[in-house]
This record gives sequence, structure tokens and C-alpha cells, in this order.
Amino acid sequence: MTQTTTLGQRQQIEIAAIEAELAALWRHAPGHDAPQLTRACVMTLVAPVLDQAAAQLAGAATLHLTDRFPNRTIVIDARPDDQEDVLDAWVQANCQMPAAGRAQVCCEQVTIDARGPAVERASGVVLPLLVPDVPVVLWWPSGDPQASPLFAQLSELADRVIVDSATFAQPEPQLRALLKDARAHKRVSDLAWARLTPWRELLAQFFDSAASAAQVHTISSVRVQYELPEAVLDRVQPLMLVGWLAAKLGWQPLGALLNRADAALSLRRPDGGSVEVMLVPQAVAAPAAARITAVELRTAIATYQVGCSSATNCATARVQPREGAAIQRVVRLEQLAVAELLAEDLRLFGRDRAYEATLRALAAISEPTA
Amino acid sequence: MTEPTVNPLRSGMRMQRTPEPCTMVIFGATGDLTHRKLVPGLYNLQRERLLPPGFSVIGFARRDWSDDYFRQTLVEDVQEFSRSGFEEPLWQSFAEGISYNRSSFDDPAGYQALAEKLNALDAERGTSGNRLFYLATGPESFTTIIQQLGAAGLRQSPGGGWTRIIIEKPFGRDMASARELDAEVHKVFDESQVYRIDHYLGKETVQNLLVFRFANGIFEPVWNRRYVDHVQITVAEAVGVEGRGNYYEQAGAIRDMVQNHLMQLLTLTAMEPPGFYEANSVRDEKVKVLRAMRPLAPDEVAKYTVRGQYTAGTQAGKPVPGYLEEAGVPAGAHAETYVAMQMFVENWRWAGVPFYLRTGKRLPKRASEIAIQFRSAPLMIFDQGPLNDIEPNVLTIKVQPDEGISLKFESKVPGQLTQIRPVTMDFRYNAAFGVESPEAYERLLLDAMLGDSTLFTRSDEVDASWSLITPILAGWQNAPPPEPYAAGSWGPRAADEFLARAGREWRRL
Repeated sequence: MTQTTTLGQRQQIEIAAIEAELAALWRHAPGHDAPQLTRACVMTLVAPVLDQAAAQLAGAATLHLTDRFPNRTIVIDARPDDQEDVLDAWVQANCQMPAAGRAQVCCEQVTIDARGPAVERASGVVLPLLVPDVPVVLWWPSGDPQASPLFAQLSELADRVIVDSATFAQPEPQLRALLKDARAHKRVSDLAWARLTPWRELLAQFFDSAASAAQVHTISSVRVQYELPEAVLDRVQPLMLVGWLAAKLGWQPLGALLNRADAALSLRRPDGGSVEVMLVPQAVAAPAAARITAVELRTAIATYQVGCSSATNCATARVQPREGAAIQRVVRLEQLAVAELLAEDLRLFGRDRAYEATLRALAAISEPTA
Repeated sequence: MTEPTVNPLRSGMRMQRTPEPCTMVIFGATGDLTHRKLVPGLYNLQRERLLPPGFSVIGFARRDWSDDYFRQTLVEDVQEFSRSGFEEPLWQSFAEGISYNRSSFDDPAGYQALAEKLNALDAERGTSGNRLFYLATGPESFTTIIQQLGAAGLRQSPGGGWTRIIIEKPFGRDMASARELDAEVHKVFDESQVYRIDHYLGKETVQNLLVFRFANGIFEPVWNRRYVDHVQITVAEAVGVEGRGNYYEQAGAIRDMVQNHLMQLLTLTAMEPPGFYEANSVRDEKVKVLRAMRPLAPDEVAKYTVRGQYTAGTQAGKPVPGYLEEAGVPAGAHAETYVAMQMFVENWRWAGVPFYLRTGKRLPKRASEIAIQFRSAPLMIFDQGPLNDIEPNVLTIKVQPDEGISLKFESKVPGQLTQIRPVTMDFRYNAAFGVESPEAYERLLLDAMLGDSTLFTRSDEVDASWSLITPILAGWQNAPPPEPYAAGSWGPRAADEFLARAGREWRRL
């Protein structure tokens, strides 16, 4: 990853003068006339932060994205519970450290400090700052989005909304609300879902060959092992993985999902066969978010396993046929930081229908009708 | 193209499918291409989870190496040449699938041993009879290897898997030898199994040329003789022949670069939109361009081509030897290290628009680009003197380095007077996307494993290309030797005069 630096001084300015100050920032930037300095913008990223943890995430992500997706970032540091009624703005330019022979790319950041009643006016400040002709991405770094009026206001302006359901205090109702947003043709994506991408790829890869393709329809059991912080019932990641399998393979839930970490669940395949799902939590002290550590799929003729290996950023993928020797290999399975997940997610701008289908399956699993 | 395997878990995934488990056999496994490009590229694919489970590599070469020694030489090269980081556990797992088959290319016993190894891998690693042969040898060995593969029964897999063969350039050295080689290839392999590789087609910007032209609505209306004055295609190299004097003396710049890389750039620039983005639709359109191009008559060759050969000079401030002083270059060598030429695409879109091509070694810098120069404004209404003081609009597609697209246009200089100055509007890959592009070989290896031949050259395309180059080679038989140019310069003076005669000049890169 390229290092990033701030160009010139971060400046506090009047709200009404933000655009003018941004222009001045570039006019007065050192090396402004040099051809090596390139100002680029492929989107406007709006990142509301409601606490210090979210502010840190946003700060790290903003710098990371300078390298991958040059953008205008608008960070709204919102403290709705403050007594003061304050609305301030800051502008700065973030530049990647130039690589040899390459242009130095810079992009701009506006930070809006909104306190007390001023939080309600923040979206009005954002509206004229959106860069024309490029997409507007609302990134809600952490917490339940539906709990904040700011989310509703800002999502109206956005072409795409990115959340992290692993940080939701009440994931299941929040995810159902997101499903409604997705149905309303808003592009919704989820960093918790992005964390599952390598798992999904590795599981799909077992069934890519002509010889094994038919086996995917005969899966009879799914076992998902995951890390679980003590005294927390956070099973979004394993359930999302099960929801994805159910959506892709047409499995329908039989009975209700118990509200416990080691829940078991029965589903029915389209051919009438049954699939037994088991969630296996492993208590851990304090991971950042509950994460999957192993997945096992069984069919009548083979067992397919992916498990985190002892090596950093690696997993072991293994096929054990009922007859014959196992085939095993080590594959890369990186634990990406939030900034890297965000960058990966931004690589695609279209609607993620696989995610939407997974949310629907997840809703069915949480509240089965059969 | 093979029908994709239906895997419901793949739908909605970024990578719609990965290849089926297979074994890749590399002929010429001890050579530079294997060590600098192929195996580092495969390792990168493995690191990005794009290779299938059980993927295996068999190196096939003459040197007396063991499996372990082969792996040991590869690990050092992967560490040096892989664009992604080296991770020991990943490499160890990848290397478990690598083995070495020592044999000369003409020894039938070596191919029988290869067949046995392939069968064993099918059973042990689940490679299902899928085989990809890669000819990373000199062209003199192509026919022998292909004949031996046929004789050993390796043209098809016994268990019903697929068998494909990738053939490196150069594919022939003129029309007759290319046809001869093609006939040998087709005695053993069906055309659908053959993947003739030109790594330029794996480059991101080259693929983007099609997206740029056919995914945007505003460029195609002006992409024709009505608006385009001429096209310049440049592939400039700063390096010399780098110890490959023997090969280069046989090839020269026209075979080494023009017949393949520059022709690919030309056809992608000039082609009509294909019906859809699929191997034969795209390649049909490329072949139509080549067939619309007029071969030069023998008496036109001197008029429309310029040859050069570099002499001693300086590069980046350091003295460098001339071509004749390079290692491996035989005494009295006469190969051209520089070519400039004009080609004509005689169809309704391009009639009368010259396509100027140039390539050379020991030029001032490495730069490849396609420049579309548009006709000037029809009337000058500003008080700027004669019309030719205004520079024409130029759309440049930069292939390497600093990949991107730029458009040059005229703009008013701020002030009380109406003064005009050219400015550029730039799109740079690294500025807009930031991510590192995969190596060209990675994309092409993956495509070959997936059975997608869109970015590979078809038999009739090679044939049509040689039909244009062979008359030039014939015309040069009785022509004066290449004109000297100093290393570190932009080629012989005759190349500048060549364009000046048409009232044009080469772009300064």
C-alpha cells in the first residue's frame, strides 16, 4: 500500500466558503503547476461518524482510499447529544507519496463538525458539496444505521450505501430494514458480507469442475465454526454464510432458528432432501468481530472443508472423498482491515444481487413460514 | 470455447468461475520465460485464489534437473519476479504440484514418461485429464514437440478432459513457414485447441481499447476517415538485443515486433464493433481489418518503409554499443533494429487514412502508444495567423508505461487577448484505479485454462498478417542495408523525412 500524506495545512473555514476554499487549496498547493501532481475524483464518499471509534475507522479508510479510489471525502463528525449548536468545517488534501516515475495523486477531504441540533442541518451542507457526475457513496462505518435520522437523510442523497452489519447492536431487524432499502432499488452493501467473499470463493471452487458440479445439489450437512466474544450473541457472519448457501441452492428452512449461539437448523433442498446446519461457536476473549474459522460441507461422496490454518493469512482447503486420498492445499485467506474491505467493496458499483438474495434467505431463516 | 460448468454458487461472484483442475506442461522449463513470467504469474494466480484445486505443473526440458532442484530454482525467481508478496506456506503448497520431466524434445521416451506422469496426476491430484501444454521454447523446437505429443497420444486426454496448447511467438518467419507450421499443428491439434499467444493482448490498456471504443457512445462517430487525419502506432524499446543477437539477426524488428504486437494494436484500433464480446466474433473483425489492408507491391516497399540499425551511442548518459558490437550478433549482420512504415486499410471506414507504424530498439525511452490524430478545424475564426498554427486534436492511448488515455485540444490562455494553447485532458490508470494491473501473462494463462481464446491469435489472423509482411521482406531483399542511427536517438533521419514528405511528423514521446 502506498503511504499517504496531507498536503499543506488542514484549514478551518466558514461553511459557506467550503467550495471556494477547496479551489484555493489546489491553487496554492505546493507543486500545483507541476505535471506530477494529479487531482483525481471517482466518487464522493460521505462518512458520518458518531463516536471516536468510527472516527478512527473513517480516518484510516480515507487515507487508504486516496491510493485506490481517489475521491472527495466528506466526514461528518456528528455529536447529536451535545448541548452546543455548532457547525464547523475543515478542508485538507490527502496525497499518496509518489512512486518513482508516477504521478502523485491527491484528493480532498472536507470534515464537518456538527454538534447538538446542528446535526440535523448537516445533510443540507453536504448536498452542494457532492461532486457532479460521479457516484455518491454513503459509508456508515459502525453502529445501527436505522437508529439515526442522519442515516435516513444522507441515504436519500446516495447512489450506494455501505454498512458493516458486524457492528450492529441489533443485526436481525437492521438487516431486514436494509433489505427494504435494497428492494427500493438502492445499492446496499455490507462489509460483513465482504468478509465472507474469500470463504464463498473457496467453497464455490470445490464445485467448479464438471466432475463435482452436481455434488453441490446433494449437500446434506453444513457445519460453521466461528469465534464468539464472551457474553455476546453475534452470529451474523455464520448465518450470512448459511443464508448465501440457502439462496443459491434453493434451501427452505424447516422450523424456527433458536436464539442461541450453537443453534442447529434444518432446511429442505429442492429435491426434497434435508440439510442439517450446525453453528459451532468458540468462545474467545475479544476479537474485533465474530469471525468464521472453519466450514465443512458434506455430501454422500465427499466432505469439503476450509479451515483457517496456523499460518497467517492462509487457510487449508481440503476435499476428502469417501473413497480415495484427500486433496489438500494451502490458500490465501486474508483478514482485511476495514479500510481494505471498503476498497475491495468499491471495486464493484452495480447492485449486489447475491447479497440481496442472501438477506432474503436470512430473513426466511430468522422467521420461517414453513 | 468449452461450455462453462454450471455452478450455482458462482452466480453473483466477481470471478464467475475458476478453471477446472488441470496440469500445465511447460516445454522449455529451464528458460527465462518460465522463470521470469510463467511461474511467477501462476504463483500470483494461486495467491489470488484463481487457480483450481489440484493444479499441477510439469517442467519439460533437456537439463539434468531433479524435481527438487527445479522447485528450488523457481522459488528464487518467484521471490524476485512475482508482483505480489511471497508467502512461504502458499509457495510450499503450490510447489507440491510442481515436478520436472527431463528429456530432449525429440526423444519419444520422454513423452511416454510425460504421459505416465500426467495419468498419475489425474489420479493423485484430481486433474481430471485436463492438460495445458505451453511451448516456451525457441521456434525451432515447435514442430518436433507437436509431432512428439501426437505420437505419444497426447493430443486428447484419455479420460475425456480437455487438452490445449499455447504456442509462443514467433509463429513462422514468413508466409510459407507460418503455413508449414500451421499444417504441422493441425495434424495433431484441432484449431479450437490452439492458443497462439501475443502477450500484448494481455495488457490492460490494450483490452481497454475495446471497452473505450465500444462501451462509450461518443468516440465511434468520429473514429473514421471523415474525422481522422492519420494514426501513429509506436512501440519503442530502450533496450538493445540483450544477448539474443543470434535470434534477432534471424528475426529483425519486423518479425519480432511488427508482425505481432503492432499488427494487434492496429487491428484493435481499426476493427468494426463485433456482434458481441466472444472469441470468434472479436477475431473475425480483426481478420477483416487485415484482409482490408493492401499488401505493398515490391516497388512500393522503398517508398513506404524505412529500416534502421543502431550504432554506438548513449542511453541514460551511459555509452552503449551498437548492434554490430552486441554479444551474439554475427559479423556482417544486417537485421533491422528499427522499422517505420505506412499501412493502408482500404475499407469504407479508413480509406485514405494512413496508419504509420514504428518500432525500434535503443530508442530514447520505452513507450508504446496509439495516437489518433484528428483533422484540424475547417476554418480559423480567431486571430491566430494561419490555420496550421493551431495544433490538431490527438487522442492517445498509452499502452506502457504510465497506462492511460489523453486528449489534446486547444484552449484559450487566460487574459485580455484571444490566445490559444494546446492542453491535455488525461486519464491515468494508476490515478483513477490505484490498483496494480495483473501481468499480461496471468490473464492469458487463466483465459487458456478457462477455454477463452478471445485474446489469442487465430490461424487465419496469423496468415493474413504474414500476407502483409512477406511482400515487405521480399522487397527488402534487394534494398540498401538499414540506415544507421545512434543508440539513444529516435531512429534514422530517413524515418523523419518519410513522414515529412506527407506533411506530417512523428509524435515526440
